[in-house]
Amino acid sequence: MKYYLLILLLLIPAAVWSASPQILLTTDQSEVSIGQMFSAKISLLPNGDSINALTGEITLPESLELKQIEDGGSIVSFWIERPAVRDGKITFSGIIPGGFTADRGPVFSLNLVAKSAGKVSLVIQKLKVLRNDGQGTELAVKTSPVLITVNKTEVEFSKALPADNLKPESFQPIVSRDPALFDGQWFLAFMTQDKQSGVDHYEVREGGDDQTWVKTESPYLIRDQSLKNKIVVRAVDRAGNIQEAVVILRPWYSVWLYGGILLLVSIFILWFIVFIFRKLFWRPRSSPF
Amino acid sequence: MVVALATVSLARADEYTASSFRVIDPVLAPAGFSSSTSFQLFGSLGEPGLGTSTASGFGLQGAFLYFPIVSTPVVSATAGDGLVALSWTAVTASLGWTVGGYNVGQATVSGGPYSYTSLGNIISSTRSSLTNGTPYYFVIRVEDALGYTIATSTEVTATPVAAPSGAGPVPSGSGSSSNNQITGVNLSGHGYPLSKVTVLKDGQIITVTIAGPDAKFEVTQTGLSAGQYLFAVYGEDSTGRRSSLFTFPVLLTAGVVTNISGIFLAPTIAVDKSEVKYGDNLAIFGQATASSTVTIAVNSNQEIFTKTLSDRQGAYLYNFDTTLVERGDHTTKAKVALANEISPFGTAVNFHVGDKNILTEPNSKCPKKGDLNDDCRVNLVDFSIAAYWYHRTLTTAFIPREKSSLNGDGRIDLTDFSIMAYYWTG
Repeated sequence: MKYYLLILLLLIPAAVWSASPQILLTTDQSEVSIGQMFSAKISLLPNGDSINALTGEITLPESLELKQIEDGGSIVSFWIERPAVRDGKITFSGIIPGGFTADRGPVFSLNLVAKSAGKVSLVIQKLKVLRNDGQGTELAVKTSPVLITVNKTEVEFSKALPADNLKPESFQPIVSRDPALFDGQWFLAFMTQDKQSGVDHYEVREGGDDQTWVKTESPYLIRDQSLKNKIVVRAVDRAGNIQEAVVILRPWYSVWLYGGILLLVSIFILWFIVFIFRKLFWRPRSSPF
Repeated sequence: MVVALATVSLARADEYTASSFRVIDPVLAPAGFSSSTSFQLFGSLGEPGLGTSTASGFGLQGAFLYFPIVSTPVVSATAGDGLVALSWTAVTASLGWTVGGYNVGQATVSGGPYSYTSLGNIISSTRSSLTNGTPYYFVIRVEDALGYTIATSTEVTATPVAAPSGAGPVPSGSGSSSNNQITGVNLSGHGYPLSKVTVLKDGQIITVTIAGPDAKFEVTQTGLSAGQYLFAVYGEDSTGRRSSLFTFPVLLTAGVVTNISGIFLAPTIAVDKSEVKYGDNLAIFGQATASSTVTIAVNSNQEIFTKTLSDRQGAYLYNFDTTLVERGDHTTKAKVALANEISPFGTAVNFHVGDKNILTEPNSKCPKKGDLNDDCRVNLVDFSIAAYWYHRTLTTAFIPREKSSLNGDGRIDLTDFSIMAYYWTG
């Protein structure tokens, strides 16, 4: 009897564990040769929950070389930290407005090349997933390392990186200002998606075509606070395709300018109506004498 | 032993409560399923007296079959060459129901009759060997663990189109358009009568439309790329209250307009008092689809469920008797059912049962949290402001803003972004 109860007690946490959200790390090959490219995919499995934020990091073994990170088809709409190598580790943080509840969704993937033979392990660490409940409740999350065997045989040709000939999606930067940011000065907020390789970075240019592009990120403090200069923001994907967006500016004088034009047009229309009315209906009074 | 314990656990009777009665320890009577050539009899584990009794002063909804929760799936259909790829949102079921699997119903006439194929517990299926140029109509039927139907989606249609010669096996054509150069999505569903419906693509607003008098809406968005998208829809009722975001992933195919039907926005909900004196009534109200059944859940030690009807404008009101719950903090939420469609539960609102009545503050159209620049929206600008302060020491000027709009811990971290994602308006 005691043994049954013990088994039951052991089963309960296992059942709870199996219902936890999962960050799944999978590779398209479990065994590769030196020089061979393979991909590792990171996916979110909410397991019945609604997840709206996640973060983590992957330490890359020395025997693997990172060729490319792809986040084009990611379920993460807004990256706080786009997946990239920072301090020798691949770190990522992002949010999914409204939460993600489907069975499985891609987060990002890594294209890797094996450099030396042996067994290597990939694992996600410092992992956090938060529930879409308005409070940012942290959930227990499970993940497992993935093992790859690298054989001594070398390959001369490996699979090529996926082709991406499409530009990132069109977007419209927003001009805004807020006392809490840049001392209330005008700034730009922008974000777009690239459904193939993913957005690599953004560049901005203030002024004419002779001005240089500056690599930046959102929010961007506008240099010319008079907002007289043309501003163009461009998104560059990981394959080098570019999507440009011209910023629609509303300088301080625009309200007065548009107001003045509206006033003049109104006066003209009024004058025209009076003119027509007088032409059609006005008759001079005949003199009584 | 384990099985025995599980069985005992299932057989334990729970109390039923409503505003005017309580059923203590209802008797469980195992039942079964019978059929012959001319009839079918469905049984259940529940009280013998299944049905609704009414009198001038009360209504009795007996048995367990009234309050199990299940939502209907949102189905997307993408046409290809001689095929239609279907995918749907996973259904949530609880309080007695578990999802056992899905069936796809297929017909060449709108409304059926459908021929059903059992798929198991998966959320996508490709129907092949179809005739190009013929419209096909599909529904997804949800079965419980015993194989009984517990929900059916709305119908979705797609017309397979032959691939251009030499184009290879890539799917082409669309459910609603023969122009295979257009990549896009067609969304349809229920909001609130004559109310605003906002559609977001990957967190940014792409269109705002107005639902018809019957609360139905339909939106088409083209000019998209092939790939994975996360669409979200929310509604605003006649007083400006917003529904929760209804999100669903869609994989778009190049040159195809994907049809997505069955989007069903949860009702908006509000209460007239933030604190209600124990024994007094609490008015729970909001807007839903017109002339539909609204199920209201009140969270307490024993979760309470009750039902009411919405009027032709979609408005509903339920006076909740607070003697049914203990003193303390509670939440309430609502879902809506119309014909075979059932929405998920919407946002929960808080109230406190105590010693006095405190009226709720007038409805604010602004999100309660996440709005860092006070423009009554939570969008890219707020995200950018928060992203700037991520891993930075907050200034004394920004700390009060973080306290009022986020979690108030004096720093910007993932939790703050999660709060922002929950209250997101685009």
